[in-house]
Amino acid sequence: MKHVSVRKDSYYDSVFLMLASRGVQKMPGVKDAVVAMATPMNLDLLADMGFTADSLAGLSPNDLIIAIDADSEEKAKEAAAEAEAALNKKKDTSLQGGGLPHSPTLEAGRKLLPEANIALISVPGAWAAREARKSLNAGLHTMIFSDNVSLEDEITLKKLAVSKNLLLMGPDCGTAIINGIPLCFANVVRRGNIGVVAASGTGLQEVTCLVDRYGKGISQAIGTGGRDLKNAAVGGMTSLLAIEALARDPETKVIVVVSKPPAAEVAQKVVDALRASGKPAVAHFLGLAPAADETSLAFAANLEETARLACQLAEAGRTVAEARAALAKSGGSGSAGQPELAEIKRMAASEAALLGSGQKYLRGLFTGGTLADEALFLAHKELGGVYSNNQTDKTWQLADPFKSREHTIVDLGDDIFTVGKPHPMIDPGARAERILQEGNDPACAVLLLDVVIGYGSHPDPAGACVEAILEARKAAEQRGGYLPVVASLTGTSADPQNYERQLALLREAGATVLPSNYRAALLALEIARTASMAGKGKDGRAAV
Amino acid sequence: MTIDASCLSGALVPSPPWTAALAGSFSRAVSLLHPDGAFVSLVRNQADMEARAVHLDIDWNILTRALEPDEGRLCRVIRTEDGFSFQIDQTVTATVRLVQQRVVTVKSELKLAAQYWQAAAFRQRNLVLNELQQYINEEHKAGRPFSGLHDDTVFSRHFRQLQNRPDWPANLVGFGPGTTPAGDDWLGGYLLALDMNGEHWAAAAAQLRMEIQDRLKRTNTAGRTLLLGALAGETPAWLTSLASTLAAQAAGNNAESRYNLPEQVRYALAHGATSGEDTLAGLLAGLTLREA
Repeated sequence: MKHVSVRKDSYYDSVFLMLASRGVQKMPGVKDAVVAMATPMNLDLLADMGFTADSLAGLSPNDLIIAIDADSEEKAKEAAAEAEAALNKKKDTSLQGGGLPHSPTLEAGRKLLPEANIALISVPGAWAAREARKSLNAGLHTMIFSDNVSLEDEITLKKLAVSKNLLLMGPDCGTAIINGIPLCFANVVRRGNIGVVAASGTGLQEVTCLVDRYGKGISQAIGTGGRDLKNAAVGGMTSLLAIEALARDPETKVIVVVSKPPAAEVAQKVVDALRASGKPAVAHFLGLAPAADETSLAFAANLEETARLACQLAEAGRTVAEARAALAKSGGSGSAGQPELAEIKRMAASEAALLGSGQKYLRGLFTGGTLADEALFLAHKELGGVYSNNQTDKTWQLADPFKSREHTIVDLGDDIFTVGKPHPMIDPGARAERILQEGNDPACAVLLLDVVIGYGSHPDPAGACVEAILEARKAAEQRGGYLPVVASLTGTSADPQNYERQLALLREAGATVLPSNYRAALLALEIARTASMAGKGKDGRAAV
Repeated sequence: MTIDASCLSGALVPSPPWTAALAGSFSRAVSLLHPDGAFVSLVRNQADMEARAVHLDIDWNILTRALEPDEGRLCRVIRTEDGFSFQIDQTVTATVRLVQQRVVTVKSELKLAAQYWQAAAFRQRNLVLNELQQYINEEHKAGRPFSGLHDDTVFSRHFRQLQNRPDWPANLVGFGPGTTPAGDDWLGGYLLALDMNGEHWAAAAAQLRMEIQDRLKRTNTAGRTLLLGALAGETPAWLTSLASTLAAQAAGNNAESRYNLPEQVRYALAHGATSGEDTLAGLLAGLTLREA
């Protein structure tokens, strides 16, 4: 049974047409489906397929045609309706999956939910500034998920937000937890008294998840967008307002700031604001050597230490010195059973002993930008140089990010890997390919991976790597070697993917999972260092 | 608001004055329907320049705001001798005064690419073509959709039949899925390949151009716009650049090009749902003709 419907003079994005067409073709009872422009050649094709001349009459090449060939009239109409629905998706104002009300404009959304005091903007970058301006003018705190917003617009919007005492998170802000609700890429963490301000997405995720794992909770986690602290012209406007808000918030007892390397003058402003907050605080600026602690302000060396210090300071009345002392007393292992540094060295030596001849390089394959940076800063310093697409020093930038060179850490979420493709946290397929590629390199001594779960991420990111990990390890064994795989897992038990389930999958595949990205990086670089430096025995095995 | 700007125009952008209505607004381009029946596009990046595209050296946000595409509003662009005027419902939203104007053509770059390609040894050309195919295959493995003409669909089955007809490949005009019909994309790549193949193929290229010209009404506005560029030998900047890299690599003239090729393939494949893929399929088919 054949069914034809037409949209006159209609242009849709080609990707949209393809998705509509493929969706319908998979429906039971559908023999063939064509969603295409009504050009003479396409109409000839439809005529060959048995569509009647009447149904194809009077059409022009600028008309869109939806032609379905199905087992029955009912199935054909059902499929046509499905295609129409797919094309209408953007205009749909009815209830969407999950029962959430959906509205086409910000104004309509406000009518649906007049009590809302925050708007999340996720539209193409060219339009995001305009929507954000509307939102701020309507008195809403605003989170801009979109990227490609100009610096000029960001500055103007942030000035507007500050003048209205509203938070503008972003642009390019992918993570926040507001009043216990995870927004975009964020995790389900318990509520508590630690407030976080972060100019880094996976940095915020790692810290909030570790706080949760150490038994404490988050009052608010406010993303700022990457340029807020990095660009002196933006001047940390959102970060400073967020610190001020957390200082006033009675539920927040400790303030944490996490950022990729900030502009020096902006970092100073943030430090001054933390001092003025009157609350204990922890600051961690990735890639910068931590400054000396003050009575109520600690400077952490990594994301894990940031979370651990915050948890210690969350105990009423504790000074930074007391928090440090408590950490030292626990021997650095904290309450989550993470291995101490000496244990990591022992683990590394035992893994390196199994390596074959020629295996000497670290290969880090990351989906989270901040997690990649944390591992990179650490490994670059310890191993005497690591190539990466995230390197700012040109000497160590990868000429071809798709091919590793000696010690390499790649951020697979970088634009160069995601042109026309989903981010690897959403679709880890590209990383699985890269795991296989590294597994086939006889010089690869250890694979370092991050697995980030939570809202927004792939439904089973660990499962998506398992097969590749097994194959990569097998390839190494067939060459007479051995491939250690070290991973960190950012997430909580309450996340949709479930931390424990993901952990079990990684371990079943033979990965060694460390409780933080920092410790995973430590183990991996120790394996690589041992492999590089140890002499080789006659059988090609590393002598340790 | 009046802004001073410099302007690059593709070789086939109609001379001023003209007025064109907004047809579509996308993240990288704004399409205007010119009265001559084809689009003129305002493109955000110079890398997306093509025969009927204009790049204005102004903040993209200003431009898109000046043509706010709300439903029911008539957005127009008026091209004068001195610049552009953007209007919504008769109200001027922005004026661009041109301080510098330049028409760009890719013909000399393509001519050089063709010379390199023809001068390259058979083995080198084959190696480069294999490498190109390999990068495309790698992208498929990584989840990139197959060509609109090569997946297992009613279109791909019919595409194989069309190859056996006497009017092949001109019969591809307006054929296939996509906002720009996949057949038009394929022909764009194929014509470029014939031009690169050299004088032995010049007669075939001229014949095909005549046949396509006769069939331009058989495709839609997007397809016609693309084919007008292909007929004039004015390929999009990304395709020109890819052709230059292939040729330079085959001729061994540019050691750097080796690293650029995979990136250029990925950039090419990111065009449309399968437009980039279909174009490369046509290019490969045409370049392989010479080897056969």
